[in-house]
Amino acid sequence: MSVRISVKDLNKTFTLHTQGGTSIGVFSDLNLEVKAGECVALAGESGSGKSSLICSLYGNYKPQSGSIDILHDGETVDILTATPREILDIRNRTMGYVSQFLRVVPRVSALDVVAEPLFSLTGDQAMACDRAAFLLKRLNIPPTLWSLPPATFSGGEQQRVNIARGFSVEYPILLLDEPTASLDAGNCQVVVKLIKEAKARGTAVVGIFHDEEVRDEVSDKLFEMRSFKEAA
Amino acid sequence: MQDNSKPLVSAQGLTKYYGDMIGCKDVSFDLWPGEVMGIVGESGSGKSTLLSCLSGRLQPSEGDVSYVSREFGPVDIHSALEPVRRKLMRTEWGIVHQNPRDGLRLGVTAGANLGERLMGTGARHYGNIRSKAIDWLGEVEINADRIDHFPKTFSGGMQQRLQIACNLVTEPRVIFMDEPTGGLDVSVQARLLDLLRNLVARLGLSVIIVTHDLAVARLLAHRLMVMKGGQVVESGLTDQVLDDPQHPYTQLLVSSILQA
Repeated sequence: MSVRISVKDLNKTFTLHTQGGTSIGVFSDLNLEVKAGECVALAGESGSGKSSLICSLYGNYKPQSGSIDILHDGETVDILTATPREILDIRNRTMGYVSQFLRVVPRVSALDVVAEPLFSLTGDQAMACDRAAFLLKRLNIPPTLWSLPPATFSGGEQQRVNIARGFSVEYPILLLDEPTASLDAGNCQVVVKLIKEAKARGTAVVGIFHDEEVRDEVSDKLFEMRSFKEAA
Repeated sequence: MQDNSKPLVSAQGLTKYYGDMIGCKDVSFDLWPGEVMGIVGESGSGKSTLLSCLSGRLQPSEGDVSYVSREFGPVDIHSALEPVRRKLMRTEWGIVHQNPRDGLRLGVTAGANLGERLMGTGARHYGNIRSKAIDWLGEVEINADRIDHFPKTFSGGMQQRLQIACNLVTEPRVIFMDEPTGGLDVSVQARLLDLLRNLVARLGLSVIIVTHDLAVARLLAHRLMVMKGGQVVESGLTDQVLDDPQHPYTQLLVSSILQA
């Protein structure tokens, strides 16, 4: 199967200029490869750089050196040297990301939050809304909530809206940061199913799963962060 | 359709001195069709000077701005003939001032404010102008029965929405915004931001927005330029600049936000 993500010699350090230039090493010389249809689970204790790696893959954090080659439209693009425009194009079409927390925009309904990625990709409002409704239903968000902005939703409901949004487009690559952290067992199983379906379509998945049961069910490989942290 | 494979606005080495004071120094960038670029930085960092140079309202000391016009093709803004520049400002460009009273004429009605810009592009049919004005009032969520009222009877938020509508009636390609949400209370600001976000996405507008509010920048801008002392100290994808700022000044700016 084709390699969708290829990370080589990646180094990430935070330099805190407001704290007297303190330097915090996150990971160094990190190498990782993720193929189509494969799910790699990042393992390591809190603070071991799992989220930082996901953020780096998504172009949200800026590593100091190395490369992150993403297969985009049949070509490899290095996230470290890509322009903002290229990264946005990759995010629109190739790489999805489910963060730990939903960033809510005032006045935008749950349905629109979920439909937005597919709508901006295709321009087809009706299709995007159908897909959004389908996902919200699967994730057990009651239809009475769909027209409301998610700001007032519970933590678990917000996270499910966030997951639905992440699965709105069938991305070739999916990054998941603790997608099941505040979900009950039933909803966890829905997410497991969604991940398995994505893998079956050939999606390359990189995830952080604190729930070991979920992790064992969806992941093909464990990627231990500790050694890269110690080297940093 | 517009050509999406080329930048719409391109700035090269833009520099503006006020005497020996630096307004902005050596700013270069490309703005692509449909792209929203935020310029952030504290008061006095040169944001508004840069915006004025970009939009052709201020002659830079050095550097140039090129723009690909629908009507004229590639235009060098600062060496273009005055009629060309004026035409562009009336049609393909829009400018949203922080204070709506700088962009509106308060002594004539809302409909006349909208109609004036349309007439500047050659529209003469009263019925068409009026129906277009009503459409645009609707777009910015102003009730059509306010069309014959004077803007001075509008609230600050309504005035700002009217100013935006006045800019959009001529279907511009580039909008320059200077602190469009400054001075509005938060609920009004949220509504305006939502409106701007939708209009920009739906109409595929290119926008350069100056703001000191990083939350506004995060919501609207695809990418950011951070200015300090007239120079761009950091630029990049909006969420990257805000979540993993590299320059000491950007770090200070981001860490200074109060969490509500």
